[in-house]
Amino acid sequence: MSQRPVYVLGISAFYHDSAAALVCDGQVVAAAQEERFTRKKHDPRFPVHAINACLEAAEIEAEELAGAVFYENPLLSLDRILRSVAGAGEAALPSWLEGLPGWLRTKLFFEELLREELGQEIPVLYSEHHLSHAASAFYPSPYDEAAILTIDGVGEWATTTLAEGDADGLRVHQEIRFPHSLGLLYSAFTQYCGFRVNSGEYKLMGLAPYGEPIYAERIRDHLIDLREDGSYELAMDHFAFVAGETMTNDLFHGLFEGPPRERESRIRKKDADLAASIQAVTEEAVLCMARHLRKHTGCRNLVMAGGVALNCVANGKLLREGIFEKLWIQPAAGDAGGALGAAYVGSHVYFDVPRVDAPAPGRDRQRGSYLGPAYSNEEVRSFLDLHDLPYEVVSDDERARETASALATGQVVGYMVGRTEFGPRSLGARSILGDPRSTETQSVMNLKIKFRESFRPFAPSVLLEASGEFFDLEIESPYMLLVAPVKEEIRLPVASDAGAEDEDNLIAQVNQKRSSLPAITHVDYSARVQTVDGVDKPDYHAVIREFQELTGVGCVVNSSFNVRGEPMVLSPWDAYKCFMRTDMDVLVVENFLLRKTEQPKFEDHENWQEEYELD
Amino acid sequence: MIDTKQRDALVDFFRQRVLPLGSSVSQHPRPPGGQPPLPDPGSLYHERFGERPTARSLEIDLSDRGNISRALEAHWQGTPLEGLGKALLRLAKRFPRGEEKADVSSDVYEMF
Repeated sequence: MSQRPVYVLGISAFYHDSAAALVCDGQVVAAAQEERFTRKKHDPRFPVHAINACLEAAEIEAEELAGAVFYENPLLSLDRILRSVAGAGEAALPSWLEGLPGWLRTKLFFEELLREELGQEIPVLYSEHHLSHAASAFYPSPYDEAAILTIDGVGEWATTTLAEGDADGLRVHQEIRFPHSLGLLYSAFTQYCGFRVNSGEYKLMGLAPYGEPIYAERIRDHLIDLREDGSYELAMDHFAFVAGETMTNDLFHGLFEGPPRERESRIRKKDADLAASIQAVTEEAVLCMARHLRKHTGCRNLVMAGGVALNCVANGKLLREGIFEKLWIQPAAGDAGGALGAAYVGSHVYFDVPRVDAPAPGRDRQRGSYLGPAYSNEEVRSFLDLHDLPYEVVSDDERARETASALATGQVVGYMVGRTEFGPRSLGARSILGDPRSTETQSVMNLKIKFRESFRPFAPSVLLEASGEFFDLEIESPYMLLVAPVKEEIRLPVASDAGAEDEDNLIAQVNQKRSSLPAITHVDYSARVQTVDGVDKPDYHAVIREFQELTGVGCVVNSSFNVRGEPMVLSPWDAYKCFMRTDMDVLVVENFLLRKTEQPKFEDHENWQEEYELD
Repeated sequence: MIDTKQRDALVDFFRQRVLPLGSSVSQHPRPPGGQPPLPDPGSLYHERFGERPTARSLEIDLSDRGNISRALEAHWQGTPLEGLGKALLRLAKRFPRGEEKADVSSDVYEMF
């Protein structure tokens, strides 16, 4: 008689990016973020839709679950909150009034909520926040053993954790504890530079190459005591996040000679310099930690997770530094990935499930991170027919050819094929694609399609086999988590006085053509690369290969399929709405192709852009 | 959103139960007996000594109000926070379950 499969559900919720993940016999089956269903970016609410999607993907009922694991320990979190608030004194009252009701209404009662939603009594377990991150980094990685580095804003108490994984599981070595947090330091600068905490960090990273790290020394001297082993403490008298309300205080503002930039106001050279400075300090800290971890564990491989692991510029530096021989980063490195880690912790630690073999030597167990829901051709056709929308039915080969052909003539394509990505990056399942050779692609996609800040660069998806033609990148980067230099051979000289007449004019710098692939070449000749192979995403590989046939360039622009502030599209309806509201030319949904010129007038409310809060 | 009575209850709890704890409790509590000295006095890392998670370490009974209260009390036994578990659960009775916090500020997200 065969044993029943061990299904373990992991859940992250109540902070940012709530999510669910399902692991069966140690292999991830499905994972999804709640925001994709509710259409509220970074939705922190209980992930009922994501849970249902995971169960549907596995075609099981809740009663078949061996257990559910919450991604952190509420006792430790509440301990940290009460102690921190007590220490902050009366100043913490406003944040107490704002934050505690969530605990009293919901967070303490996770099990009740889960029981109600599942309609089942199942064992409920609790991991630790950084243990979940560590598990999400190690178990799906290609390595039998690895050092583990997790860095984020804050878990329960931990903000940085150094650990190790091997055949016997996970071991936690050292940690940095709240309020000292590299993630919160970066977030403090994010807010000071006028971006939103928890979503603007990526923008700050993108802004950094426009500036000079002229404040880095000031940061080291006044804000962070960074030791040689990567351990650190923050000078808490410059920060206000323990009491709530805001990240920084007057002492911080005095240090940088002015108040925070107002959101949506013009970005100044000073903001770019601040971005470059905190980026430099962050990279230094990460490199110090990595060196220490290598020495401490003796491991040759490093795996990473936690929000700071989404800093692909720092990741690229870490790779090039060669401290570890190999590097793997969990693509859902933020809190959503905690759900996946929690499911792994439950499987391996509690249910004693052995780790599954890697699908092939050197390949990871993340399945390309295409772990979310998919829509069948029947479902798509029903949707299109119901709304009487004109479309062409295309075979897989025709889809690749038609998409590539549209891109090669400068058109922008919304591309929705297969299971959605788990994690913040679009990897060719829900992507907006463009021609990287065009100087206009970046501005058109930023301003007429994404409606986002014009300084933000776009990323390339490149055929794995062609990557070396364009980028100095020795390894695969399937999850777009590594920034690499654009090859010298394709770089172009830039006028040295670009933007010199007005140092706050970033647009002049953005508009400079820097390589033969200007749309994906950042101001510092770098690119955030996704390498695409034919194994995990053959349809997308085929599109880029066809584009290569037509143009000689095995690379396309890949941006997430959404507008600013909107979660990535999930359903055909989400995709069609986004297509019609923006200047995209072609929409591909599974084996259906829609051309903008053939679509009926789209009835939309006038203020649709207010539907999504700006990130 | 909270009503006036809820706000008053939160303020009272904050001033009567939390503030008196003072800044002396604001750090992570050391386990009974204290931790061994750090191997490197120049390091700011907190040691966890290669600790492995165990099946037992994942088990916390938060299945109902009584068990949540007991779990908190056990967690804080012998610390200045002892007694706060029961008190928090009493306070929670004033906050019937409703829409979860989805719109608190991002700063409070990090903290809470």
